[in-house]
Amino acid sequence: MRLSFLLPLLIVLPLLTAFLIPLIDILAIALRKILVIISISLELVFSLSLLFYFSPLGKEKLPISYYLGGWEPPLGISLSLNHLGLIFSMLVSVSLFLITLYSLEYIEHHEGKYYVLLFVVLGAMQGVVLTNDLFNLYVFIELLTVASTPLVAFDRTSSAIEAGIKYIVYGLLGGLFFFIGIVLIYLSLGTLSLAEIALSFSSLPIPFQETVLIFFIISLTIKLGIFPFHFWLAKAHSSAPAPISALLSGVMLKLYLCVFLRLFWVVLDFPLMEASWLKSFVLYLALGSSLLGHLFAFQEEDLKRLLAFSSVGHIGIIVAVLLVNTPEALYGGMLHIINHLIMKSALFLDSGYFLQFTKSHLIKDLKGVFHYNRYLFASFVIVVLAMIGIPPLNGFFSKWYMLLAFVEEGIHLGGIVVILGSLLAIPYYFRVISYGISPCEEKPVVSLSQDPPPASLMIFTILALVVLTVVTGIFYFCLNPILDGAVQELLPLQIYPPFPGGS
Amino acid sequence: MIVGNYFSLEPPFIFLTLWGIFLTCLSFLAVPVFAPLKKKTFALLYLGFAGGISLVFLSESWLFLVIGWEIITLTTAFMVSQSHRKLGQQYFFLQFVGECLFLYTVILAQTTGYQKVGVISEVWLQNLFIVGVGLKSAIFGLHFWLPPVHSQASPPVSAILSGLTVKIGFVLLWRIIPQENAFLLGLGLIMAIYGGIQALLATDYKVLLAYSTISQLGYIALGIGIGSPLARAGSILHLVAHSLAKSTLFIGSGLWEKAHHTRNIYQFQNSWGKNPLNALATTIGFLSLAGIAPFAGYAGKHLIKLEAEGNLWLLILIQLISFLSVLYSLRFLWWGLFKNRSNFTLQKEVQKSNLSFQLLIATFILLILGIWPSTFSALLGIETDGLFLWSFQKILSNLIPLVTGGLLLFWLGGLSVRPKKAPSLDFLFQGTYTCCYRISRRCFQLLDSEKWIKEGLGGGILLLSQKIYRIVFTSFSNQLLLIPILLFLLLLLARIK
Repeated sequence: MRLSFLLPLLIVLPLLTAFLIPLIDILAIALRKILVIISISLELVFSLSLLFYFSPLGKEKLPISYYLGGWEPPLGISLSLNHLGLIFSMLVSVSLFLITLYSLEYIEHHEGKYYVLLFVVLGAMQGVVLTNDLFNLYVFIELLTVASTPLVAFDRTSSAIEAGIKYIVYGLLGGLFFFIGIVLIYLSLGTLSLAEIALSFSSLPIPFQETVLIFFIISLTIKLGIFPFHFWLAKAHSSAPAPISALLSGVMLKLYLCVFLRLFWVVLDFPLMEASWLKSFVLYLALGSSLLGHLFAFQEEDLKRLLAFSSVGHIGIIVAVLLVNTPEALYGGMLHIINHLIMKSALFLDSGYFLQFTKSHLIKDLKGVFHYNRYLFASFVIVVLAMIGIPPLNGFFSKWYMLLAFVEEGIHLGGIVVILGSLLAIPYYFRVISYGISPCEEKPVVSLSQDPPPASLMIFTILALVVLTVVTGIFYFCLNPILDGAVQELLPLQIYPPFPGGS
Repeated sequence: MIVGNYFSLEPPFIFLTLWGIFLTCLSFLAVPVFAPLKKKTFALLYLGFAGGISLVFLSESWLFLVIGWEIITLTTAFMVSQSHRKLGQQYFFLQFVGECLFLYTVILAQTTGYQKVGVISEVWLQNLFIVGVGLKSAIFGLHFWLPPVHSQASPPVSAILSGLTVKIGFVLLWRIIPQENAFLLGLGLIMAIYGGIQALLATDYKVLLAYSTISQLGYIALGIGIGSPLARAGSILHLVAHSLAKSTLFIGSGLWEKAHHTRNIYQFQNSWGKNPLNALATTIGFLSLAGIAPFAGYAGKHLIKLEAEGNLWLLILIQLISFLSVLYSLRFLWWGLFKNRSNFTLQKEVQKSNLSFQLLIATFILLILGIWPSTFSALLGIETDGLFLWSFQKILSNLIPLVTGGLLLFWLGGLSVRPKKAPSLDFLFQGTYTCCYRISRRCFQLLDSEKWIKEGLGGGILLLSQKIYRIVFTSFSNQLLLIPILLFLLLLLARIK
């Protein structure tokens, strides 16, 4: 329990940094970068120390809680950390650390505002992961939406502003449905603590429970960009600056998946959802969305929109596989959450580097651009191979477990969608690669300088993500202890055997 | 511990692994001749390939098997794309499709309860495996990619593609299918006949070799499909022998192309004079393919023929297939090596760039394996007591096809056909890509949910507000009328209260 003070610190530190940045700008602008680096490193250290202490090899056991102001749950608000939270908190810290490093060289204007918003987003993300109160969850989600909207529209072009407006409208609409769900729960149960709702939710009449579930499902469908609501995602993710695209597509969608997991498995009544038509409806909707995401990416001419549609495809398959609700399915789904975060962030950041040199984001303008940096080109190829699911890179293992989960439960459509997804991915990524490496005599670039600008931090970030791709591929079973912990939290009574293949 | 759990260390698999590594090294020796500038890249790729081969042959866990096979796909695809980038991409894509089929089958096997790579007793699952392996191992119906890829890749790459990569699936089928399997038997027969006929009609040397690979793979499939212990032994013997013969022939084909500046077999001139060692290796390689004693290919074919003796029709078909392979071997030997040998002078400068060491070893081993087939089969863990003894009947059975084949060819005038266009996958890929693109474009336009929401929801609200506006605010009189209506309603409400 000694370390529970870290939980509020994880949320407060970024928020505090966000408030300090404008103040420090008054003193000296040069200090801002130092503050940003110190703060994001501290956040990472806190997160790593949590991992160090609470991993199954560590000394202490999860879950832990922290009561704000010393008030116990019925009255006060509490933060808590379990295995699921630990995974997502780690993911957020590590990826935000890398994204911030990348931004230090990528963002060239309005840096002060950018970092303020970025840190608010970070604080809100940690809040979403750690909070144990439904209303706080809602507040953090809204904070996330509101703070990330200016980041989406950060380029200030008309398309970026349009994307930003769509993003906030749909974000708030999703939030509205979430809010209605909360109101319904509060009116009937009189509490907002997640633990108490979990205890008494199943005592409510079944039609009422279903109504609440439907509101939450609609809210999260909008937030996750599942099929009928996928278009805002492609717009927002493609018109944001590269690190923000990575943030949205890599991290924020995963965060909503975390909310999805916590709400439906831990808090609300999953057996009810499983019994009714809701589960299969959402499952098949997500499968369809996954297939459509890949299909849409196939015809896309714009590189970043292509990546965004591919995200739609992957998120769909993750939602579907989580809903299968067997140990393998949850394990595979969470593995793919981690892997997709790493891969998609790497792809967005990598393409962000190369798109500096082209006059537009269109694939046909990429001609010859991969010759600017051979290492980054190699890393692009490696990550694409991981995306397709080539062993021993990480994408393969999550593909394997997802296939196993679908086939074991007899949902062959799911298996086919997984396979088709990776098959469709080859031509659309290969098109990018073959344009990128095609030799061209005249310089394709309308950049101011003919030589690439120094970008050591950017390159470091991308290479770090690529190393992560390879390492989490070859040593994927090292994640087993934490993932097993999370799976057991979601599925009490069932113990999942860790294994590297075979049995 | 891990080795015990996930790898099987039985004699055939250890031998196959060592054999695979040996062949990889043998093919790598040819790299400096054909791609002198990319030695380092190729060294890395061959290393990865050898690792993949060991993983595939030794692994008992499905996961490692899939990983190993995928490593092989990746390395070979990179090897192919070193010389032909587009072909490499096409090859990779097709292999990946095959990988997906195979992966699905493996997952099905695992969920059916087969946790380890081994004997599978359900016939439907065996047949699924045949299809799953089909694309990667060019089983009939899914073989269309083999001739273009194997004939266009650079020689050392073709050597391991044709010698080892396509064999993996058959080794797997050999492990999985313990008894007879009619599906595989039928496919094997069709493959052998089809490949043989195509090889007989080929004019491009490498295309001929590629089709001959299909026909010999059919022979292997046939042996597995018959399913008796001896036939299985025969098919694995044939697999090993064919892998060496075919990789030697493919490397030789590169040398011939260099020497003759063409791959058209009718234009080969003075082969013995240009490279006698290669000519010798090619001759022995083809005789081995044809299953003539005492060369390596004879042992396996002999065992399979022995097994088929109970079934007359099968025996006739197998003899026919053997005859076909004798026929196409003789045809090439006639056109390529023996016909235009007019000025029999050694040409020094061509000879310099050959691979004498590598060719000598290969020829030597092909001979050794043929002369002592029982030691060869003992290495694979197969008991063959007295099956390979020489007898008058056996010598006759060797001579008859050779003589009849020779006479037939002589009568047909060497079976000269018009040269065909080189096989290519471009058309297939173009068509599929365009088709997929159209579908995806169409879907994108049809399922544009943003438009639905804009036009449906937004348009609906607009329409509704226009309606209300028209009803309420259009005319002054209507507005005036609102006052008495409101008054009336309020009074009514007050009355009700």
